[in-house]
Amino acid sequence: MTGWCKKVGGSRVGIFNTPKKVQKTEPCLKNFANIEENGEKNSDKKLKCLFTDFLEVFLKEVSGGSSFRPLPPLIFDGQEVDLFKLFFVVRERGGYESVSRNGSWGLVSEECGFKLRIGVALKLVYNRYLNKLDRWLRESVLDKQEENTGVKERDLSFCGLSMDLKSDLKVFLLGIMDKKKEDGKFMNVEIKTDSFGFEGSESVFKDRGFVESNGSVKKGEEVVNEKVEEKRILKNENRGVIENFDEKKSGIDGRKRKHECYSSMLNWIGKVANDPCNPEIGSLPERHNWKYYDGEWKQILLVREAMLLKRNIDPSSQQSIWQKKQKMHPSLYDDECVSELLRCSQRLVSAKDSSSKARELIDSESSSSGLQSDEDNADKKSDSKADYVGFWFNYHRSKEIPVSSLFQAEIPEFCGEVYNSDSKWVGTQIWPLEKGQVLKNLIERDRIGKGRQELCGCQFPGSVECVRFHVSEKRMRVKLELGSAFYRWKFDRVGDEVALYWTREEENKFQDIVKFNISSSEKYFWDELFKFFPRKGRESLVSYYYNVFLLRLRGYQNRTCTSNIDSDNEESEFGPLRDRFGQKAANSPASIFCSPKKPQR
Amino acid sequence: MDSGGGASLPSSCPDARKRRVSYFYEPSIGDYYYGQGHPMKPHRIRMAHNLIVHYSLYRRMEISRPFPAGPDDIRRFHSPEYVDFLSSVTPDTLHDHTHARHLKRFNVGEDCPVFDGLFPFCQASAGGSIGAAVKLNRQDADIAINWAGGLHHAKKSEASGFCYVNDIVLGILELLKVHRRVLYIDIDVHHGDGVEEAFYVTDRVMTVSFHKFGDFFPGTGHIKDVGAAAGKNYALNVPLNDGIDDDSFRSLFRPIIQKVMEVYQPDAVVLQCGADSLAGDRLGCFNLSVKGHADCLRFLRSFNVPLMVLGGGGYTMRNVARCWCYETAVAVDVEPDNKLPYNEYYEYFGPDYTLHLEPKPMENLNSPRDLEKIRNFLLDQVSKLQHVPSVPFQTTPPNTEVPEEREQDMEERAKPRIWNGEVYESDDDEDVKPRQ
Repeated sequence: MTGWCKKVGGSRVGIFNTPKKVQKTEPCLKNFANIEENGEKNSDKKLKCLFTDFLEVFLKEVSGGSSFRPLPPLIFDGQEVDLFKLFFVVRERGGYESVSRNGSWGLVSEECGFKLRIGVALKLVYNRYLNKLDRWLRESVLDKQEENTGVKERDLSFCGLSMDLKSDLKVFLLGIMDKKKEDGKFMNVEIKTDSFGFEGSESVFKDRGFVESNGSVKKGEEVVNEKVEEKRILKNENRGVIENFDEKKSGIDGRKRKHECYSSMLNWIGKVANDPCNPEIGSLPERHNWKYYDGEWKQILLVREAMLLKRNIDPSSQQSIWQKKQKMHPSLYDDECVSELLRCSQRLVSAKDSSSKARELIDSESSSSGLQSDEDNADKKSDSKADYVGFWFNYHRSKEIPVSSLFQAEIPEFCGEVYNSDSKWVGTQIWPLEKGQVLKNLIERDRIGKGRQELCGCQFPGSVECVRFHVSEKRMRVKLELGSAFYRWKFDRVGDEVALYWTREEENKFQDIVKFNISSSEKYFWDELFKFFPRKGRESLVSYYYNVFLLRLRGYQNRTCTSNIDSDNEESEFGPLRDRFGQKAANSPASIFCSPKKPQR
Repeated sequence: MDSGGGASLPSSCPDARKRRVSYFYEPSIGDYYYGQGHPMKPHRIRMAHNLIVHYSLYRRMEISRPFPAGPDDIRRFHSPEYVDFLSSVTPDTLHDHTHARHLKRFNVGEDCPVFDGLFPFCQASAGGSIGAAVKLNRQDADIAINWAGGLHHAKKSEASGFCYVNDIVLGILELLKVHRRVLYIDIDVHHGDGVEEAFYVTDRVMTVSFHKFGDFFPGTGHIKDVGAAAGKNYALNVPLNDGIDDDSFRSLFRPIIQKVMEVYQPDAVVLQCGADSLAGDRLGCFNLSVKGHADCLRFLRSFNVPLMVLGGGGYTMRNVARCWCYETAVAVDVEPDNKLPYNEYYEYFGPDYTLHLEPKPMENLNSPRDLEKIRNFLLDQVSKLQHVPSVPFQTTPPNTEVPEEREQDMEERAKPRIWNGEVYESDDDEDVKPRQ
């Protein structure tokens, strides 16, 4: 850590990088800072209104208009709850789960200006009003990726949200998240590809209102530029922390003029960057020193604290959004910094090399802390092993595997020798036959695995009649061998024999219905069949369809259109009918039907 | 085994070939119907069974009708609300108030329609896989087969990709009662996402999936998804591209599985044999022959570890039946003739009426370089496992001691509890003389 900072300090990367990072989300940052500090300033009022508006629409959409939640919420002694603030305070402390786990709702309450004991009420309020929003925020990031890759949306409950609302919220909240990230990032945390898909970041900045409300279109444009720059990086497989630095160095000039307003914060960040192991930084400075700072640092420290806190508690199941989406700079976790000095000097050699080294750190770090940084792991190899990158690396992971008890199975205890299972599970044994059932008189049995004899004495070998004859001959043999198993496996209801349960008229009707419906893409012959054979039931209709109808059809095809027989679809001869599932579903990216190489017929 | 090569354990049987095979078949399975034009056709299981019988393979197996898994059994993995929904919804009540609001939530509708008999179908599938696990747990069988199982996309609270109830997870959970470590291998063309997700954070189940990756359902299965927390590095994903052929597949499957078996030393193995990785599948895009597909099973069988063999995808019915019939033959160590015996579904297999299918003349988009890179990458990942302290490797006796123990073990196992010894032991000369 120390070494790293020295190095970056020397090459000026560190100095410029940090300001740049901050600047990227300048507008949000500004507002956010203002809110935190001065509560009642104009701009943050605006922001707060915006937040409340979003929330209102959001809650309506989510509940489908069926439930009504009054805004703002009042707790029992009539005090209004500032949801905006609450949202932030909770987020700062690592999110709902983290706060609940740590039992720090009381502290949240105090930070929101209430009494300690109001905590429980606040928890309830958060749960009712903000939890969904928080989750949606995470989801929306997922959704974006999914849109890109055409993969199914996991949580459909948010489909109802209008695009407007979505993009508004994205602007608003992702911006805030950015801010948060920056805060956490004074040690440099890289934004991962996944968190800001290409489209997503664009859509964020399309929203003019957002930019203007923050007073400077220019700033907004610059943000877009930054994003473009980042996109380039993302395209490059997101090579890593250090590379990011280098890419961004190029854009330094334009940023200088912005520095003044954040000078104090930047100074502070600079200080941290230069000497992050300074014990002072790890703990809150004395109260009397606060006035020398702008207030951001407090924010930063709190975030840092929250993140460090979270790291120690079940990191796998409770990753907050930024943890999921970002790679933490390893130094953030490091207690001992000496060994890294060496590695840092290597970073000077080339960005690529150093990025792989950085990952090594992350890697070693994560294996001890249990944090999920598997991608780093893999990245490392793709970088370090060879220049050539296989096709599979070009696909970004479009889906993360969710980790929580909502998704994983509960693993049973290993009980070794004392295993006792319900004997019902072994089922009903059908073969071998029970002792008394074994047939005494037996024909000579075929060798196991024996196929058919090609030669036969039929008049027209290979004709339908020939095949029928041999099939029924074989069937009789099998029937003899199987004994009772023949019936228990329902072999009496297999193949053309099924037709015996149908009358001639019924068979004709069945055929007519199916054939007639072929010509119309709207009708499904199954519906018609059920109508016409109300007493047959599903089993017997399906049975007839597969055992008789299709089989006969295939027999016919085998002897007529042999060249074309290889169609994958048993129902292809039915024209448009088969598209009931295939076609419609193929248009939805979430469908298993969606396979680009297969023309959907 | 002629192509064994991977045998890390001595065979249980004197001739190094035999395994006690238990096979689950629900006779009514073929009459379930997902809906018109839906590519998932349970009838294929009946077709496979038909071939198995007509090849006389049944003589070497114990065949049972599965006990249907009840809602409580299914809840061992799935969430209560989801199970309630599945067990109560019917096509008629589909749009009732109570059900309609759940459709989206549980992802039931387009891919996973509500069809008549949906729940009994799931019960049969799950019951077979749990039964197979129990068979292995009780050491009543060395290999347990359930072609109606292998529905690997189903999630804890969500249907997906034609799968409603994840019988594999339920089966593995049962296995875990007796087996410390279970290895799950998935050769369906689609990623085994449901199983991977269910065991993503545990090291007691290692999941290995070979699948098409990139613009393909379900979108998961990136090579860098390796598991999390305690399960880190215990999920292996082998991303493949279109047109992979037998040789390419084998060049990945064998070394990777060999290494996994060496390092992870599973007490039991579950193999999902989704047949949509065969050439000419309606939804798949691989180019495997039946033999190439079955080579996976052949290889795993050679390790002589309790093995559960499950079905899965497969959307060209005749090829599914071919494949699963042949794999059943591999399990019982028979090499069936290529010319299909006459059977009731004979016409489905026209115009060639053979057991094996020819690979398609399609381009293999997996370059040797890609394959090598994937292989090295994954072997590297597996080799990391050796040094993970949280896995109780010490509980497994070292390899060198295994022979004696295993043999002794097998002495005991040779006394079947339910098995009718007479029938089983008559296998040797079964081919020539009629049974008394």
